[in-house]
Amino acid sequence: MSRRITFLFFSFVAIVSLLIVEMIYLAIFHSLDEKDIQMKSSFSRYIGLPNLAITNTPSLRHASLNSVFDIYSLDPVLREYDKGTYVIFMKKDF
Amino acid sequence: MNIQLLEYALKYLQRNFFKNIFIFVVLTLMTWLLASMFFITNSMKYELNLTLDTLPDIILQHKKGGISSTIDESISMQILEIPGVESSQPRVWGYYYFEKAEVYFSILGIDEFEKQNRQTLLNIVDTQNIESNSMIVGQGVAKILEQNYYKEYFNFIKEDGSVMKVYIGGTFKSQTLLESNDMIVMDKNSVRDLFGYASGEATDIAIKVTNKLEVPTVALKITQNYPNLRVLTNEDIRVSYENIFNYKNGLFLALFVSSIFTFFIIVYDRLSGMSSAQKREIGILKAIGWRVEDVLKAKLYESLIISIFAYLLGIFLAFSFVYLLNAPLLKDIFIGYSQMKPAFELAFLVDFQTLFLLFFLSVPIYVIATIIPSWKVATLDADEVMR
Repeated sequence: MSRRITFLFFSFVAIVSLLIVEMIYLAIFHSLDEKDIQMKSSFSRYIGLPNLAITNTPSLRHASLNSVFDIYSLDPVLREYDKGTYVIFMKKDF
Repeated sequence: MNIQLLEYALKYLQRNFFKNIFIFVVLTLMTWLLASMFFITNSMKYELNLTLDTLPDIILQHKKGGISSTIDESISMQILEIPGVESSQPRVWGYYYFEKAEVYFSILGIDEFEKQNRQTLLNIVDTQNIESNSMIVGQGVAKILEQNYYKEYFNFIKEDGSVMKVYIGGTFKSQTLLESNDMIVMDKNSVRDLFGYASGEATDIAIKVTNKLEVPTVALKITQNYPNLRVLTNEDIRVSYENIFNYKNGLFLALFVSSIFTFFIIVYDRLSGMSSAQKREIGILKAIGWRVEDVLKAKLYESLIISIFAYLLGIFLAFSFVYLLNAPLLKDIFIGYSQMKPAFELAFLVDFQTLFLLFFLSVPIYVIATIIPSWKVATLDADEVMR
């Protein structure tokens, strides 16, 4: 076998091995274990409210419980919760 | 596998190093971008759907003028009379705007800490001492309050403008960060007092149905008996979750289309014909005795080497980017702007469907795009090709 083919073979083995090692590492250290899932389920069962706390904008926080009109009741004049709102909202300088 | 042909393919790749490395880089980037998008979506969907079954089967809301309003608690007793209903619980919850930090907290009232599911609560909080006049807060809330010098208690401004002092009894455990970051849980009467609810008023009613198959029937009965109420089933929430991702995926689609467009430009370039040097090379190979299948095999090896390596490297980089680096920039498409972002990690999940999809979207298309023009040239006479 020539040098080129040997290099190709070892490159392939190296990249596949890297991928497998990375997946094993992620599966061990970055996946949710049974305890985490149990904890999340307990919390969710106790609270009973849907959606994730990745945003705390009222109309989006529990979006699945809202209707279109709630956006206006929850956020009158769309104040200070979104980057775009700063276009229409000027913070008062007290 | 023909080793000599493989050797020839490798020499060809080496001879046209810069051209091939460009195609390799573009293919790798495309795989990386698409894989990262799919991995983020899958992980977020997984987190959302994880707790879906634990939510109430039906939620009842009252609308006034199309806007959410309070609901009469006594309805929950009438709901209990519907066959199949296991429990019917009026809930008091809402949002509190903390002006100084410009954030909203989600506040939920529960029936006194001592009575209701105390053991469950103890499992999900960091403290074992929960007083009835205190509140349990999410870690994001605790951090915001601490930054504003509220380390032991917080002064809520009630609906009538007076102040309500509530002590911080503990925080929710970090495992629940994605669900609890902005949550405050305290006594139901305190929340009612804070929001200015009259006695007997609730935000909504949470219903559990014994047999899950009966949920649509129970929901229908409620709709018929109370046409003024909004009936929201667990299935509706699941559909709304899907909609969130369909919308967000629309943003991803823009990236997807540009990546695919770039890829197909390369494919078009390949399909639209070969350069005269490439044609002459095939002609010479045929003149020295190579068969059509030999030429095609060499081209197959050449394209497989580029596309498979690009695919594997793209997937490797996507895993690293999403799960080790936590997808900077791309994750923000889902999270958006928020004053109280939880520093959460995306949960690792291997979705073989996504991996296969990306494979079939890149490798076979590139291989075909290389083989077809070569086949067109290789089937001509050597004399005609070289002329």
